[in-house]
Amino acid sequence: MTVKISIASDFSRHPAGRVIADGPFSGESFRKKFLEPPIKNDKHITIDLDGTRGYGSSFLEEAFGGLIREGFLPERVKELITFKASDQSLIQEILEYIDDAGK
Amino acid sequence: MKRVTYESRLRNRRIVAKRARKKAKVNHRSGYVARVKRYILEAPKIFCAYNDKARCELLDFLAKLRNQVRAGGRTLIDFSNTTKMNAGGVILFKAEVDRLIRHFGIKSSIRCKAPKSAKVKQVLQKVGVFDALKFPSNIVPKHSDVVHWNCAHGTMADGEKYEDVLGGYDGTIAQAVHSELYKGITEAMANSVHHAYIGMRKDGLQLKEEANDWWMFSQEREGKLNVVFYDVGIGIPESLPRTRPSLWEVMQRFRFTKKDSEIIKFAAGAGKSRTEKKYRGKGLPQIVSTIHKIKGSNLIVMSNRGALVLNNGEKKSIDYKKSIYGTLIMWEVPLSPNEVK
Repeated sequence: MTVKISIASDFSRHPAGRVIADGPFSGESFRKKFLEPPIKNDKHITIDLDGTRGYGSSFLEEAFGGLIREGFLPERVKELITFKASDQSLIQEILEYIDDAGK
Repeated sequence: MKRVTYESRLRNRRIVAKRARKKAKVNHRSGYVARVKRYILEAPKIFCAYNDKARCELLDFLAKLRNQVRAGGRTLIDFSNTTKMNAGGVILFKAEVDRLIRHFGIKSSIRCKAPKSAKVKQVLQKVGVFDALKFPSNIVPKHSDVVHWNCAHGTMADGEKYEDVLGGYDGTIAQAVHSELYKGITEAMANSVHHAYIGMRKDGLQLKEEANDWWMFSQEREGKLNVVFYDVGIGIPESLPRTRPSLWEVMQRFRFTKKDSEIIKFAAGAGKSRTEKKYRGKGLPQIVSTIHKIKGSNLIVMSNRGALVLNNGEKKSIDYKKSIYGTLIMWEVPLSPNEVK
């Protein structure tokens, strides 16, 4: 079973900041709410990145790189998550954060 | 006890009023009646953060304002001679006033005398200076340069605040430009929350900040949109040695410098260097990188005495005489829906 997440409609059109204390829609809060539960249950996730105002590096790094620091393996994370975005450089950036966090 | 008659009560009232009138000081030229003595502080002619001379005058004025409020005196800011204001200059002033009022409360007692220039009056109304200084005004900004000024203030990395300033530009600037500006602005907010307020601002007031305040203004000028972001923190040259000691060590070893502009330049280009937490420290480099994707855009990162200017792809460092005591970032993007590289 695949879990479908649209960041803009399910989380916020205005993702920003790294940790929960930074602001209402931070990378940490997205990770804890939307990424960790399905990954723990080995569920596939499709994430639609379109529709938001944009993404700062601190949000993306904490949301996806943070998964690796939480103990998930980079290869497993990349296997379970499929990204959908009109800007392909965004997907590349996220994959770099996942790889860098695993080093 | 002798009963006070109605007539004697009226007579006493007249005496009290006469004494009060005698005590009041009237400036017959301006018509200003000062029952309580106020220190009159003349505002500079130009509010600008970039031009060295104008910036010096503005920063001297802000230093005098801080000293006066700290001394506990009542201050009257006289805007009579102010003729020009740009977003950078106004944001420095507004942030200082908000901060002084928050820390000193009612004791700060800053009031103002309106400018002669109708345009300056409208700017002060639009950015909330008149409200902050309790200046009664019903001015409606109408000037074409002023109606497009927008402002926001916050204490967190709150992306929704972006809409307060730039939400009205959908269709006027490209979606990809929005996306780049959003990235840069939210990173500036996150930097302000994480790094700006980790120490005492060296402005002589010795105030402990309780919130991670930032201010953001936008202004349309000559077919371009200027977005200015400012925090009144300790500045990059002060925060870098504390937040990224290993980077600071490298800098000391290879490129020792005490110039603020060089420190900003180094921090802006050092996103992938070794840091205490290697996944952090990408904020400033990303702020700088936003303009690489927007054709015809410029950026200024100003912190304390230094500045890094990126103009048409060229980098330039500037060192000023005086410190802005904080970090100011200005993006300038063309107002055209297709200006993306």
